[in-house]
Amino acid sequence: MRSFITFIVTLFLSFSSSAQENQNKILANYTSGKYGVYKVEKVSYNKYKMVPVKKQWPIEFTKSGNDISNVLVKRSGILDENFIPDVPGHPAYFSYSTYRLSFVDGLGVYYSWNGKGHATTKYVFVKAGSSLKLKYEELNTKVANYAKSVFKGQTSARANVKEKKIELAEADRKANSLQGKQVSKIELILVNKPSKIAHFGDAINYGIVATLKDGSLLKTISLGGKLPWSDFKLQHKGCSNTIDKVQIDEDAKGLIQDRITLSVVSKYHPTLKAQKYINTTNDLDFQVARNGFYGANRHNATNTTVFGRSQRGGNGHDLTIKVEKVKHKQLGTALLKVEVYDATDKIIVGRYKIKPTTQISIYSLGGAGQSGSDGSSSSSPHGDKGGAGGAGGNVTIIKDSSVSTLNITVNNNGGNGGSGGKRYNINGNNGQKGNTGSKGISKTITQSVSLNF
Amino acid sequence: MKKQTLLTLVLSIGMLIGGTNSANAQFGKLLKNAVKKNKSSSSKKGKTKGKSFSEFNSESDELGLTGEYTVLVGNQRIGLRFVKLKDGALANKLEMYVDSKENSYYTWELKEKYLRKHQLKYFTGSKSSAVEIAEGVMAEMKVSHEGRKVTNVYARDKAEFETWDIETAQAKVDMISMTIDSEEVTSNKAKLEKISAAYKNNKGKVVFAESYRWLSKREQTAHDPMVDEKVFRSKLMLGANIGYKPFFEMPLAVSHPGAWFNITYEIAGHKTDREALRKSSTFYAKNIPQMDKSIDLKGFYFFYGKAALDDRIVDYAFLELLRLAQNDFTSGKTYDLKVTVWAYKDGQNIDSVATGTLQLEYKPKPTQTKYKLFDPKYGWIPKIEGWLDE
Repeated sequence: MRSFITFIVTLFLSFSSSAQENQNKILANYTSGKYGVYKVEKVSYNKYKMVPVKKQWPIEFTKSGNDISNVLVKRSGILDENFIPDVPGHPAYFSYSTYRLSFVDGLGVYYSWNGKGHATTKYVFVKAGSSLKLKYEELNTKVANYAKSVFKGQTSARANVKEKKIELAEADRKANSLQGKQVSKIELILVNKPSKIAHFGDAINYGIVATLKDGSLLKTISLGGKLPWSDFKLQHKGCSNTIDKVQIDEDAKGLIQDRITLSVVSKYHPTLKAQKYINTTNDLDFQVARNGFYGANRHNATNTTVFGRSQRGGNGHDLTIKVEKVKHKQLGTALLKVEVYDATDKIIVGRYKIKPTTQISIYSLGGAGQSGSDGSSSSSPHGDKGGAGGAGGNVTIIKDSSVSTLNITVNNNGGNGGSGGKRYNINGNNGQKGNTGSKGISKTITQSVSLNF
Repeated sequence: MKKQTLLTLVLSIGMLIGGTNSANAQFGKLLKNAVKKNKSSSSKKGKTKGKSFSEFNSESDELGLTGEYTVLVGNQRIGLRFVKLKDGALANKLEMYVDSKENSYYTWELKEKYLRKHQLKYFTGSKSSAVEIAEGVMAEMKVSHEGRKVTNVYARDKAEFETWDIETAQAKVDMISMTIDSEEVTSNKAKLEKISAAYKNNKGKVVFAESYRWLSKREQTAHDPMVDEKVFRSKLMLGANIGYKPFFEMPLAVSHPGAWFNITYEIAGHKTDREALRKSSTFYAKNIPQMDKSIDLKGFYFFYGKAALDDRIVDYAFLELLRLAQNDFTSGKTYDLKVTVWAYKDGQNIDSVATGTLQLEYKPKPTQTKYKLFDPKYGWIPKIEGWLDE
């Protein structure tokens, strides 16, 4: 007990004396030369001890002013391992690969760190003539506590490092920015232009090239340069307002002029603007799905309590699709405005502009029924009947009399019945498959349609 | 000294009776039978076992490897012979002889690329690999996805074992690995850029999709991240599922050894930081794991897409961001969500390694953003507030 208390007190004193000192201060008392080495040896499962190594290893300290800039450990006298400080002005350790080296209380501890505050000692260096008194576990604790206590004192040194990094980044930004430079023009350059410019189409990658008065060019990163995007205000229309790449709006409300407009303004030269118009092609086939839910999801889908299995699938949603013919505002070609309204959820699902030949596949399928429960015991050996499939949704297409060509396919079959539960034993019967849901009604009406998007 | 000799004896006996430990496991497999055959020939402590292969020393070869060697773990004499040509054809093999001078016991093949590029005498075999770590000293290694682990050392001169124990050989092999791996990382990157447009066009960026599932790699072996740029999105509904994937210029283990990942989210003037949250409460410490999976640290991208929000998986740091920003969201408006992936070490975000911005639109219908975020029962914000209250 007494020795334990002595150990704790010694430990406390050693921390209080060295905890605040960073490696630069501690190593002021060290000189390059040969150091005695102890290595870890496994005794048994999870038990290790420190044993001396025959050869001494040379260690060289390199200084930059008062700071140690490098510690060279010549492992076994033959392999060079260069350790560099974690924070130059206030180091807690020196690192090489995934290893760390900290000098504390006359010992150089070479260890690995798991990032959760635990150190695993690999070697210990002692000055010539000294010996190692601490045990393996004590070393791990000592170096971990030391490192953690120095981390706390690193705030201002880290802030300096951070500040320097920010300064460098800012200098880099300024060197590549239009700020303070004479610029003659800015241009938008497309990195790629998908063949189909339409709802759900591929993204358009782009960049900006600025021509300076002296003729030199600055480019954004997407074009291989370093011109910062933060130099510009984006004012895109009909697509996402994002750097590097834009995606065409899924809602036709944003595509009033049947084109997307890429538009950027220089923050430092507000008179410098660049615009690029890209006409929509409206020719990408797509699908709209408003299917009924799977019977097993009835609880979540309807927010109601359900009992047992064999739940019926949800019905496909009833949809009203309005179609009006218009002209492409840029090309003058025929376009169709299409609005899909979900009468079940009472929401507009989507507003699209498509070519008359562009296909929209509408899915309003009934959900599949849940499978029935298996027979569970000799007293109830029969499998249950599967849940019925949901009915397909009713889809009504209302087209304006001007619409002659329309390529909308409707899929509104009823959902499949769930499979029957299996019998428990020979005395039981397998459950029947659930009934298939009825197909929804599809109809097309011609009447005047006016869509305001 | 006496203790050490005794220990050596005990270990030697352990070897002789066929016991294996982790250090000799690999070599033990190769030499087990040979050692058994030879055990009667040498029973004195410390004496090198096995047949003499001293006549191999008089042979010469192009790489200067042929000769008699002593094996550190097992204290066994073996012969190594480099065979440049066999039956008139180029062989480039290193043969190990244990119990016969005529029939080789094991054969490694020269990795010609390493000799050409790095002047390394590096050999690979089905059970192990070997590399010359100093003149007259070879290290035998087991190579796995975790790296190259030295299992034995062969030396022409036994005195070399004073310097080249397993640990020192391992340190040298680690240095060799750094050279090989850094070159391989560069070639892997070039390969990746050729086969994956998604990687080539998005290095240093975070890309987004409607679900993390679209961004998850499916096979561990292929270089290809197996994601299609067509699923990338730059605008989504606020409250809807969001998956994302960062692509890195270099694997974190190469660019920032010893660091792991941290992620920050920013929206509408609010910011959350995974590591900072981990330290702020036990709730977050439990629900926000440290991002130090080896497969991600060594990759040019996260193996699996990351979910900010999904039906069953969420990043609590993103939920916290939504909680903080809830009063600043207005129906009909669009907000930029900035996601930054950081190299994190010693409690600090050191460098940003990938960043991306996604536009999130507050859709006006009651069943859209409002339901997803604020529904008292199913909305994400009441959920996180409930959990925090607990």
